[in-house]
Amino acid sequence: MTEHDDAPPDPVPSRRGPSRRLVALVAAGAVALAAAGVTSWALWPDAVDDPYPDVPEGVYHAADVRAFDDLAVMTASSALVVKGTAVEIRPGAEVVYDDGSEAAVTDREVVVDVDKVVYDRYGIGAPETVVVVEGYWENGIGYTREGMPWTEVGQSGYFYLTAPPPDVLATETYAYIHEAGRVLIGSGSAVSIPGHWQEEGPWTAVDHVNGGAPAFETAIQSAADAAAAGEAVPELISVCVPSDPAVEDSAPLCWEE
Amino acid sequence: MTTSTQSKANRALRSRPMRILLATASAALVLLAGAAPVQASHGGDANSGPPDNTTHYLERFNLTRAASGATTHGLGQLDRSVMDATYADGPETDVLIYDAYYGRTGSWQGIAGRTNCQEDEWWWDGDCDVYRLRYNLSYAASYGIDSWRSLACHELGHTAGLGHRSAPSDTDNNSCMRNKIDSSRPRFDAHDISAINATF
Ligand SMILES: [Zn+2]
Repeated sequence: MTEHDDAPPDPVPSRRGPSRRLVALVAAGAVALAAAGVTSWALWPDAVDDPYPDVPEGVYHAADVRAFDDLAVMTASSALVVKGTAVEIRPGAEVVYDDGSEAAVTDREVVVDVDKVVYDRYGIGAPETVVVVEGYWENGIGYTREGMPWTEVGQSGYFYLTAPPPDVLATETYAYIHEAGRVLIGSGSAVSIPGHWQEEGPWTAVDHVNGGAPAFETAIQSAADAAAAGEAVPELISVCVPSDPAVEDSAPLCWEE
Repeated sequence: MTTSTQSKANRALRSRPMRILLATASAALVLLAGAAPVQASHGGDANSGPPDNTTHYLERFNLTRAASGATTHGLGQLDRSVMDATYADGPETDVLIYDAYYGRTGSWQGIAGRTNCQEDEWWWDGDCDVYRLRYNLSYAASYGIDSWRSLACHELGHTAGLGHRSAPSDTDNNSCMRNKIDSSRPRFDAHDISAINATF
C-alpha cells in the first residue's frame, strides 16, 4: 500500500480572482477595523510569537541538479543511507542572504535516531543520530518543499543523505541527496516518498502497488549491496565558487564532486 | 501587484500580528456583507499558487550576466502565453529575482533554483501577489547558455502557476518544467502554455 504525497503534476485549475474594487474595499475596511481594534491584539499572543512554528504555511519550489533513474546510483552517490526515526525537530543555523533581499533564513533540522546504517560511502561509521536539514523558517513562517511534507517526530523510514566532501567526515548535519531520497514508512506499511516517484526516478522499479514496505526494504538493501560492491558509480555534479570571492560575476571556478 | 494597498511601503502591515488582525477583521467584514467567507484562517504566505493577474513585472537584483540573460529568455517564454511580462522596478513588482552562491548544504543541497510566494492574497483566495525567485550560482555558474535558459524558464514558470512535469507527462521531452534542469529543454511546450492560459 502506498501513498502519493505530491501535488498534482499539472497546473492549477482555472479560477478568477475577485474584483479589484471588492478587494480594495475589504482591505481598506480591514485596515480601519484593525486600527480601531488594538484591544484585540492580546487575543493571539501565541500565534504571533513563535518564530519556528510546527506547521509549514509556506511552500517553495526547488529545481534539482541531479536526477536518478537507478536506486543503486542514488545510493552510491549518497554519503550515508540510514534507517531511523525522527526524534526531535529544532531550528538550526540562521543565514542572512547576501543577495539584495536581506532575507534571514533558519534551517529546520530533523534529528534522526539511527537504527541501522544501510550504506556508508566515506567510512563515516555508525552515528547514533544524524541531523537532516528539511525546510526552513523565515520571518515566523515555515517553508516546506513542494510535494515534500515536513517529517514529524515519531516518523520512521530511510534517509538518503549527503554533505559536501571533505566536510562530510566532520559533520553530523546532512541534506537529502534528492527529493526522492526520503522514504517514510507508516502504519500498515504505507510508504510515502516525495515527488513523482511512482512515475519517474529510482523507485519506479519497485512494485509499490502489491509489494508495500517489504518490497521497498528489499530494493533498498539490494541497491546498497550493489553500491558497496562498486557495481554502481556515484553521479558527479559540477559545483562552483567565484574566482574573486568579492565579485559575484567574476569567472567561476568549478569542479566535479 | 494589483492594488495600491500592497505597495512595498505598506509591507509593514504584513507582519504576522497585523496579518492575523487583518484576516480576522476582513473575515468579519465579509460575513457582515453576506458574502462567502474568505480563507482567513490561512494566515500566511502559504501558496506558491497562480499569479493574481496576467500583468507580470519582473525586477532583477544585481544579477550576474548569465542570470540576467537567462531571465530575459524566461520572460520571453512567459510572453508566449497570456502573461504580459516586462521588466519594471518598484512597488508594483510581481517577481523579485536574485542570484548568489547560496552554497551546497542544507536546503540548497543539489538545488539550482528556488521559487516561493513572498506575498499571497491571503485575504481572498491565496493567489500569489509577489514571488521570489533565486538562482543558486554554486551550481548554475557551471551552466552553459541553454541550461541557464532552462533554469530561468523553469523558475519563471512557477511564477505563472505551473507545477512540475514528470517524464510520462512530457513524452516529447521538451518542457522546461521537468524537475531536473536540462539544456535540451529550455522552453515551455504547448501543454505548459495552455496550462498558463487556462489559469485566467
Ligand atoms: Zn521547480
